[in-house]
Amino acid sequence: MVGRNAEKLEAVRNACEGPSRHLLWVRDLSYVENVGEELSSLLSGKNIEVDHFIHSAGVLGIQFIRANEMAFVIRLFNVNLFSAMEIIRPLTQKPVNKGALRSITFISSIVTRVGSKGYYVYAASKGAVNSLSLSLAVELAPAVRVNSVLPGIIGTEMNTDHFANPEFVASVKATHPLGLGRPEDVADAVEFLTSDRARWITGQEIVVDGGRTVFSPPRVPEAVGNNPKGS
Amino acid sequence: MDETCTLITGASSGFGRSIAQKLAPSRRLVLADINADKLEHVRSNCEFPERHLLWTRDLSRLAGVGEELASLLAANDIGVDHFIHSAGVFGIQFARANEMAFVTQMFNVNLFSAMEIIRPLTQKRVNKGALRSITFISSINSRLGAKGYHAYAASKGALNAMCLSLAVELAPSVRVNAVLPSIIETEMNQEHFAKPDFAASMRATHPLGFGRPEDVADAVEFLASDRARWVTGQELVVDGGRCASK
Repeated sequence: MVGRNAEKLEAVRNACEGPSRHLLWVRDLSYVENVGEELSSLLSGKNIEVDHFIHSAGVLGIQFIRANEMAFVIRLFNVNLFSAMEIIRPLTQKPVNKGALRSITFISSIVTRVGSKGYYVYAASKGAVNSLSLSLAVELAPAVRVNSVLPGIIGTEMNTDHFANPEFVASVKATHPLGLGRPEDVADAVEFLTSDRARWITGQEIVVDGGRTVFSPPRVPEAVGNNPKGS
Repeated sequence: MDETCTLITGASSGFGRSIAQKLAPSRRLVLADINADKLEHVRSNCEFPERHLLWTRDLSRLAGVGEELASLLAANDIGVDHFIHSAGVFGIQFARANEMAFVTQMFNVNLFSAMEIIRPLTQKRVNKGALRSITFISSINSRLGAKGYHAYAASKGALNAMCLSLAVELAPSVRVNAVLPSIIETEMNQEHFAKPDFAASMRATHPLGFGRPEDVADAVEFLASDRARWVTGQELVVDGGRCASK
């Protein structure tokens, strides 16, 4: 389990089954220097290998193009995209990971399929993830399967304030035919993709969005939460 | 503001040069690229060379890109009504040998420089609301996986998704679209096309035969014109049937 905050990671571990089995890697992925080297040392230090890699780290931020700020863009791309490239490097090197890798699963977003104001940077990072996933699927076959999950908007820590607003919740309900999603819905899809039940599935984008992208909902004119993107 | 121009990045070679030559008779152009001599050569081969402006700029470095463009517009008393981002670098790299310097250089040219160019173009005080369309040159590699292409494909997939959100953000005044060509012979890949095996595989995978840079320029000309006034957020695939027959 990887995160930049040691206490939060520890709390998650304690809430897991068999906490003593699981390892923590405290790391800020908003800068990418030495990410690969740190991971390599962790693997050799603990004498373990990685068979499934799930890239769920992501930052979301609204920015309008007329105020484009490269520091913001780079930070977002470091976490959402570039850190994954640097993590996959050692995981695909024989001397480091001993050919153990079987699958890679990216958490992308439906914002790559539904345009939204202020989302061009976030969308670009997730669109990059989708195309990266496709080319890696070809490059790493047949040993490693590579897929991505594209969630609709789901309440998490990242958007608590939005979900505290009843109007926002109403708009999410109105735009997701199956009602409000839960983080477990994404976890179920990830579990499937990283398991042998998905042994003949690679290079795919699995949309988990309660039906958001299969229809075009009536628009609330410029209301809060008119943005249809994922989390 | 005296006049509006079409800005073309990557204008000194490949698709960019072909686009410049196609648009030169009917529009005033700002041609941008890294090499001044090559740019000058393209300008002299365009209709009305004296009308067109040059912007010599290395887009693999981002610092000052937006400011330089803003000064160029102010100094020449012009605005940009159409922006065509054809600058792009290509390179093969395998995941196990991922090099961030390579990735950063590619993302700077293919993606981030476009963000920094669009910033001043969407600022009222700089471009006076002149912008009407943005057209990105993407690639079908964003839709077809290939070995060694993960960084290039990611940069083009990023362009596609950015195009979609910018189309929503900048409507109704600015239309934003992308053209996705398949592989076409340009300076970037001449050595490959010189090999008979490669040429044969191109012929076999492209039902309409070999493409030409002008095929891409034709699509760009359409998207950057009023004939496409109700077209935005779209990916126009120009690939001789490559994707249709995969």
